[in-house]
Amino acid sequence: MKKLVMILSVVCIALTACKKEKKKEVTNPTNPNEEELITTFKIVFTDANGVLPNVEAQFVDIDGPGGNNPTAFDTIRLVANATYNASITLLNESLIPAEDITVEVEEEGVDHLFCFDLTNGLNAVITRTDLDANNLPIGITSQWVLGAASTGTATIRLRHQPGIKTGQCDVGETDIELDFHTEIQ
Amino acid sequence: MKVYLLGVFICCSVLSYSQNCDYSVRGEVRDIHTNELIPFARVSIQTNTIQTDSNGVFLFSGLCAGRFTLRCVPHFGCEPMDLEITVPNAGLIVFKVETHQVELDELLIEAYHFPRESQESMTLKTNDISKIKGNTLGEQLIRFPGVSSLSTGSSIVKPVINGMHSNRLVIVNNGIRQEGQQWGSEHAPEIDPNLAGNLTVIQGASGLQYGTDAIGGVILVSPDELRYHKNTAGWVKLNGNSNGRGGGVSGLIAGSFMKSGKWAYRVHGTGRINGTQKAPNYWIRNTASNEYSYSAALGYKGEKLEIDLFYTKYSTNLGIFTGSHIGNLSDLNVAFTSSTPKDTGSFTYNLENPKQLVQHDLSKVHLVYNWNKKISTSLVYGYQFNLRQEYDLHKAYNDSIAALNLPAFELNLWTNSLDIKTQIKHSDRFKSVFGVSGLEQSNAYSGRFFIPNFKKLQAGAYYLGVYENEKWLFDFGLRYDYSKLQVFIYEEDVLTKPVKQFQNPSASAGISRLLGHHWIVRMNLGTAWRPPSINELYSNGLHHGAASIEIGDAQLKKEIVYNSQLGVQYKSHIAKVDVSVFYNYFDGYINLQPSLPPMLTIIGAFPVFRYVQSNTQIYGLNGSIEVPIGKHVSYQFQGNLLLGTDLRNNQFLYGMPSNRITQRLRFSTLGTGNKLNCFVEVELMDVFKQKRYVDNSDYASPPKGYDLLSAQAGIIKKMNSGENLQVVLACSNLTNLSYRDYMNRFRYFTDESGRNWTIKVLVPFSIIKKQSRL
Repeated sequence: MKKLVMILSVVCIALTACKKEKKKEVTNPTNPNEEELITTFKIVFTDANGVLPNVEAQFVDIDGPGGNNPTAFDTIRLVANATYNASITLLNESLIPAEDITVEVEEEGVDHLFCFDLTNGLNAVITRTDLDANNLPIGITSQWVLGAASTGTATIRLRHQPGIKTGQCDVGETDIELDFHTEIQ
Repeated sequence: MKVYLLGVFICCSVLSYSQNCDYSVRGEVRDIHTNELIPFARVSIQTNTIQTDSNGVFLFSGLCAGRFTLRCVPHFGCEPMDLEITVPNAGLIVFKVETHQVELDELLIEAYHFPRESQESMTLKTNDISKIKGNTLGEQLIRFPGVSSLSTGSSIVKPVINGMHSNRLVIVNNGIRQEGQQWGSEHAPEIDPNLAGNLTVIQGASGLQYGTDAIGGVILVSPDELRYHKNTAGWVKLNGNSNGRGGGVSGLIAGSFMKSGKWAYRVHGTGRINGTQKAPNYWIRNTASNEYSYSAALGYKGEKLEIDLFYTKYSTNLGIFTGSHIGNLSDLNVAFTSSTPKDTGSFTYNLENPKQLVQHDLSKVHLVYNWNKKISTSLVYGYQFNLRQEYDLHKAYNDSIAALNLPAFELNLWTNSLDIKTQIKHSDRFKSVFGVSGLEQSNAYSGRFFIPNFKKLQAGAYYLGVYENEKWLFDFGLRYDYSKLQVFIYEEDVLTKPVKQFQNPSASAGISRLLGHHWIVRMNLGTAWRPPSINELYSNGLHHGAASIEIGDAQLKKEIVYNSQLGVQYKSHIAKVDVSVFYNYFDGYINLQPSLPPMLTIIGAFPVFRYVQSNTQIYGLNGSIEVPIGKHVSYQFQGNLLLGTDLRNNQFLYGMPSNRITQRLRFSTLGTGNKLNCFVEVELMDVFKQKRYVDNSDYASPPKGYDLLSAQAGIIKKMNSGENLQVVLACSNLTNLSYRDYMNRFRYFTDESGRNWTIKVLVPFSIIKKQSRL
């Protein structure tokens, strides 16, 4: 009998030891959309001479990669032979109010680089106009000097290059890559 | 006259000596797993059959000198098994056999299952370091016919049985179904094989005791029995390897306490660390890993009641090769075209992002009540907690979030399980097992969404029977399972709680026939099923390591397999042959398939893969031949052939391991008793290119085949306790070959590890109490 009591008490201890508190809520998860995302890429072009109207193009995918398709993916329409100052804004619009992620990229400028690639025939020359702490360009702001009317694709990429940034685009991983259809009229 | 008589006398005695048929052979029959003596086992030499006594000891007398085959006569005590002996033999012969008692308890079907080349090869002893390779469960099982591995880099290795893995295998850890996030191909089993002692593979639809999902088979990871009524014993294992400059230490101690010996314990611990792995031409950046595991068991074994408690913890930190973390399709293409990864690293033991932290806790209470000699009931309650944290290469943009250094996502899985079964021995020839099992599971995630939270309930009931006589063996089983899955998921920002219910029967029937003394023919027919897993139903998101978007389908139905196997074994001192063929037909095989068009995201375009169902067939052949060449050398040839077809789309099935041939040449000395033995083994593994793939269905066509040479040598000395002291020096990838394997997810990005020297030492010890001798 003594033995049985002993065995049972050992079992009880073992069972109670196993009952860890469930720290996470199973039945009421957090909405995944509240996680950190870049939902919106916006590029605003301002005429360097202050004459032409501003041009804005954006890509919006509120629920992030996967799920629903992007709600906006604009064409960039610029005036031929003009010079624009471009400025990029990154937002997380799944949050209310929206979070401005551009600030974070700027702070971590030494790890980030925007790259601009144009398909052949698109008459534009793009120069990054901002610098990080190591005097390497970031590309949040840039100057677009346009030539004659043409059509093509402007690929805008944000490269994440922690500790390996040299100003070249080929290293690191891709945080953003968007192919904007671009018309110079 | 005297001289003459003396001469005749000498002549006669010499004559009678050479024809002396008055030798006797003494021995004992022991269980191969538990080392326990087996009373009343039937053993034979030539036509002479006797039984062991109540202490498991046998004595043959009236034997002539020569070589004989000592055979364990198949009946309820043991499996048909041979041992070559030489007469005269002064020593005590220890004949280790596979018994059915052990199997009925845990591995009922295995014994009758094909392909069982021999007991040794279907059950591996993890302490047999002269035969076992690698540190992970996945690597160690490769020695079994039909088993290959699926890896992610060099540290994450999963076993694959006849092309089936992950959701289609059940791993049973010390009597409890291991419940982790096994659906992921980069999620290795959270088990330290050092504790196991025995690794057993059960194939076919026969894992009926262990519930659904045993489509490809069941892997049993079982420690040796607690040492009731025995002295304290254990072992220490040390190993070191050159590639990764790593090493590990593992130890186990077990014994009984209190005067009665009815109480026993076992404690084990393992720790291992490895640095950056090296491919022949470069360091594979961020491939360091470290892990630890420990366990404790306490048991009581009375006449009627047996009880044991068990707890184990396993924890591992794994670096994920940095070059595999791909931003998007453009990055992926760059990775394919370069022969060397973009950023190779240097040697370090430190882990950087991306990395994984995985922990698994398992506790068990096991009760057995022996009603009488024929009926016993057992109850197993298990509690498991699995924690998985995956860190991305990229920390959060928001500084305050980044500073917390949280994983990109974390999964918590809690499982409670209860299994009750009753075994009835109707007669010496017929045994039955009735059982019920239940499982309750909850999953919670935090961070990036990949699979949703869920609650799962499963219940099942089964019957298994075995009938056996001297020639025939029949085993049969029937099981019914019900599974309910409730998911908590946001749809359009609204929390929804859909419920999925699945139920289906499983069945298995096997027959085996002994033909003469050397042949066994086996056949098995069965059906098994599994409910679709959570990732197949609900995953929806970017898989960074694979640069793809994986989309589940909530409408998936259950997957049912109908399988058949036919096998032949031949065993004599000329050769050991084991050939088996199998054919599996799947109703609703769930597979991840590419789907057009690519999905546009802010990170660029990604290929989309969707889980789809179709009817498929998977069939193949596993064969092994072992031929002794002379006294000291043996040659083994092992081959696996595997073919899979998607019947709906009439195309090759994606992701099947390619065919392979393994050849081994082993030299070993034959010293008996406590003599020092040594061995040298050379192994050549030829892995062929997978040619059965659909064009443009993969980012890159399968890598070319390769021939891998490895060798090992060692010494083995049998200690007084019966355990072996072993020292082994091994070298894998001897030629430092640069190669890539089709079943490695990192084949797109990097070569496999290069040459690796390993030294392994196993020291068994045993403590004999002095006062017991007084």
